[in-house]
This record gives sequence, C-alpha cells and structure tokens, in this order.
Amino acid sequence: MPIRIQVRGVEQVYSFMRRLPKQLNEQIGKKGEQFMKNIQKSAKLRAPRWTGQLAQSIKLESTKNEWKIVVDSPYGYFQEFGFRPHFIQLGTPTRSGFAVADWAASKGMRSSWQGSIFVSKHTPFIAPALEMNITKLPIMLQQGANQAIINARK
Amino acid sequence: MTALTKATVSQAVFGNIYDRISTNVTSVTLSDSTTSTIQTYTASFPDKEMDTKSNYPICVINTPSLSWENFSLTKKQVVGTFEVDIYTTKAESADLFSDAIINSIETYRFTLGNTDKMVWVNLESTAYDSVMRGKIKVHMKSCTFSFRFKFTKSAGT
Repeated sequence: MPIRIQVRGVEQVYSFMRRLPKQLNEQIGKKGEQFMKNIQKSAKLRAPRWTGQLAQSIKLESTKNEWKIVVDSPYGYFQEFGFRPHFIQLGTPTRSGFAVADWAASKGMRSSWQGSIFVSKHTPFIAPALEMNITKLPIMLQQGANQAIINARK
Repeated sequence: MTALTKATVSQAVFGNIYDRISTNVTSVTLSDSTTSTIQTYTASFPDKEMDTKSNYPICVINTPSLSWENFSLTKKQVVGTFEVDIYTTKAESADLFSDAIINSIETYRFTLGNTDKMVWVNLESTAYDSVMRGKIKVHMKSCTFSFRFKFTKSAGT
C-alpha cells in the first residue's frame, strides 16, 4: 500500500527564513539604539553640573550598526576616572570660560581670587549609568528578537 | 494641532505631542493628598544645575527619531518614535505622571490618526532611573511611543 506524504507551507517557511536575518538585524539595531539612548540620558542626569558644559557634551554618535557615547569635555575623563587629590589655584581657568574662583564662590566656599583650594572628589557618571541599564539589555534584546520573528512571519 | 506632511514630520509630531501633554498632563494627586504640578515643559533636560526641589517635576518631550520604509509602489512610510520623560523628586509622582502621559496619548490616538495622520501610535517601552543630585533624589520615568505616517513618493523616484 503506497504511503503519500504531503508537506504544506514550504514556501512560507522559505520566505520566513529569508526575511528573518534582515528583520533580526533591524530589530536588534533598534533595541541597541534605544539602550544607548537610555545610557546617554542616565549619564546626563548623573553628570555634575555647574556651567552645564559636561552634561551638554555627552553625545550619542552613530555609524552603521554602531553607537558610541562620546564625552567631548576636557574634564569629563577626570570626573569619570578620578584624579590624584591636589591643591588648585583659585585663578586657574576651568576651560569653560570661568575660573576656579567662580566655581568656589557659587558654592559659597571662597570669594577671593587669591589662594587655593583642595580638590579630591570626583563623580563618575558613565559607569553608574551603564550599571543601571545593563540589567535591562537582555530583556530588550529578547523583545527585539520576538518582534523580528513576528515581522518575518508576515 | 497640525496634520503631518512629509516636509514637516519632525516639527508637527513634536508640536502635537507637546500641545497634548502640556494641556492634559499638568498635575497629579499623591497618596498623601498633596498635589504635584509640572514646573517646566521642555524639549531637553536642562544642562544647568537643577538641584532644588522647587525645579521639579520637569516634563521633557524629546524630538522624534524617524526612518523610512517602502509601503507600496507609490507610497513610503515614516516609522518614528518619540519619547516623553518625566523627572520628579518622588517615585510615586513619577509613576502617576507616566500613567497620565500614557493615558493622554492613548485617548488621543483617534485624533492623531484621523486628523494629524499619525497612525499606529503605540507604547513601545517605559524605563526608570533614579539618581541623587545634591540633597535630593531625582526619579526619571521615560515613555517611548512609536508611530507611522504614510506619504506619496515624489514623481520619478
């Protein structure tokens, strides 16, 4: 007795397999961008502010499938990674159009341009932002993969 | 409210959402019966020092991100997202404001689709963050929405 096997939907499976890589690339890319935007927002919120130059300099740069957070401020590195505690002359420029004396005066510390102050504290802003958001990355990637599968089925 | 055209997608989306949020989401009542009223509606979080409680809540309506895809032989489709962030000094008010924002956009979907031509408006995700700024703790809740807008391609393209 002959056995007849009929397979249906091969065309749809083929079409699904053809669309899936493109959709995955697109959806994972979208989630990656969203993740980096969240980090940028979080870093801006955490960045110490006085003139606002540091927060303003936290930018998201994108090339094809690659996103970079760039901190384009001369003191960004030192706020993030720290520095050796030291005395600084009040007349020293802050490289944002002001002098250390202006900053000290705004904090109610010293109003004179003479003398120096001791600086020791730094405030990291990128690493805490990354720490806060990295836990959400697997969920975001999962959501992206699920959406890609849904889109590839259409 | 402004209907979207292919020449004015970004500004029309921003304007429509800004008008909607600033009209409909103004204050919330917390569980201790106090009222929290939004102090500033803006397009980006202020870069200057914001370390006093009276500056908050701040509502940030971000400019939309856009991309194109083919819709048919004669039409293209803009696939975009816009984000609305709320910065408060109480976690409860951040939740209440984000609910109010989501509800405001949801109840407005019909008008957005029919009058403003922004279709398929959906909540994509929400995100939460909190940070100590000076002596206050700032809570941030971010709501990301997606939308689509179809337009006719220019002749010969």
